[in-house]
Amino acid sequence: MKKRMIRLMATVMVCVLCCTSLCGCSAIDELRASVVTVVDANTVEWNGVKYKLIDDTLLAGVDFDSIDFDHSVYVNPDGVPVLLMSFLCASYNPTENKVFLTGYGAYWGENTRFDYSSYCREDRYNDVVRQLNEGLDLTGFLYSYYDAEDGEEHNYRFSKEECEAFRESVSPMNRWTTPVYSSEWPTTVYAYTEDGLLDSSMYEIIQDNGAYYIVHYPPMSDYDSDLGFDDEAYEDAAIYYRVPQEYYELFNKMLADSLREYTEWYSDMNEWNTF
Amino acid sequence: MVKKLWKHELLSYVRLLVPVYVAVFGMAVLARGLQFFEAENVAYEIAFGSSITLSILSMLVSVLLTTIFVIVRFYRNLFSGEGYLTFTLPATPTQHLWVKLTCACVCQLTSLVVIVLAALVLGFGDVNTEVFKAIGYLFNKAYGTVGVHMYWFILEYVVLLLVSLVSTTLVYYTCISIGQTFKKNRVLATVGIYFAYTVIAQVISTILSIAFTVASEFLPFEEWMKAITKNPYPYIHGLVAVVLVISAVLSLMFFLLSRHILRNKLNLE
Repeated sequence: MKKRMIRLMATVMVCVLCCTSLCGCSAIDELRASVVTVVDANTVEWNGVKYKLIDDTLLAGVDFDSIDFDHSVYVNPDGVPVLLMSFLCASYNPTENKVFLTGYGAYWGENTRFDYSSYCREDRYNDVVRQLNEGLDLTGFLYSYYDAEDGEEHNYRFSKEECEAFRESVSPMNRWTTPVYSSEWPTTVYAYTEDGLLDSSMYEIIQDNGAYYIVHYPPMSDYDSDLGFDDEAYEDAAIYYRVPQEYYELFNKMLADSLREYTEWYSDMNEWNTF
Repeated sequence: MVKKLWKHELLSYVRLLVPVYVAVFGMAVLARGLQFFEAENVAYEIAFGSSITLSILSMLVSVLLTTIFVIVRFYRNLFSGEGYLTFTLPATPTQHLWVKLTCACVCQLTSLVVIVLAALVLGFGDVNTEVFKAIGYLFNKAYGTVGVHMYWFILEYVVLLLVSLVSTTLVYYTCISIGQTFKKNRVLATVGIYFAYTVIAQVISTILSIAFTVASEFLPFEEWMKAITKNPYPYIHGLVAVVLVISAVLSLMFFLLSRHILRNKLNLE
């Protein structure tokens, strides 16, 4: 009886073990899907789509809507095993619509070198280069926020109506001559292109005594030199706008995600301080 | 007689450890089996996380239990009431000690093997494939840098692991042997002796490192460092050899001390 029990247990365990070879591991599958192969010196391939290298000088001052740092892809020219890619390979961050792979790491391979370079999907390459040379085709505005529910960053893209209201608010007739300082959470807004490029100048929406203000900052690169970043000049160059009262309700709705992030952060800080 | 001693010693370990090993494998199979139901929901995440945690805990507990069994069996068999029966067997104290030591080492190595196998069960399939690929890649990279020294390093570290295992087990045995010479509170005395040994070992190593630091002021230390940096591998081999010799000498001392107590200072309950 005892022997039979042992045999039965062993058989069950072996059967379960054999069956498990049929089921994969999502973490490994994800890593395998994040391998970027090198086609030639200027082209890489990810998920069957080719991406071409963009000249660094064209990208000065331009940013990408990359928010998903948890799902990096890795340029892996030398067959580095997927478990070691995050240590040994250059990481790239796909933009939300996967038009760009933006590099934020350096990798010196056996024959190749990747150094903070960025790639653009082959079918969009010519148009993107044209925009970088002639000016971006900005289509709307967005801000990023952290969603505590799924633990990930998201982009909130303004609707047509919200874009209109925002554009109207930053018209010269709403210009506010006195700088506004608020202890409230500012929401950083960027103008974006359909491909996922962000304009180099940024906006901040701040709230003070129930009123909304928009601060328009010039491109940071204009104030960055060999001597360092000129904070004071940058702050002085900011232009202030007061949002017309009729848009307050729309702004409340539009900034709900940002406000929720701030409320959660603030309550976390309070809990931490109490602790 | 030694063969029979070995056989019975191993059998008693098997009786104690097989249920532990079954539990370790069971937890690993359970954790791996759960991945059949992989889903992006909190229930699965909690179940999978708990099973992995339990699996790792069971592996750690198996190592701990093996060590406890090794210590308890040595004390009970030789120094408690069972000792009267043990020493009527036609075997010398040296043979008893030798059998206990070899069986204890075999069991501890078996526990390590079981943990490795359980880890393989945990990653059965894709994970193992990738883990082996990563190990192979790192080995090739290391071989590319270190060359043929790599094989020597592996051999040296395996030998060092075995010698350390023997040395650690003999430390336990020596402490128990000294502790049983006390008339009262023998277990407490054993624990006290073990802690005293640890403290003394720490003090000696601290004194040696201070002496080395002081001596380096008067010695051509920088020139030595330059020579070591130029061709470090022979020095690493030398260092491992020194550690091996020290461990072996200490093991021999502990073995002889335990044997001496078993022969001349036996104080059965």
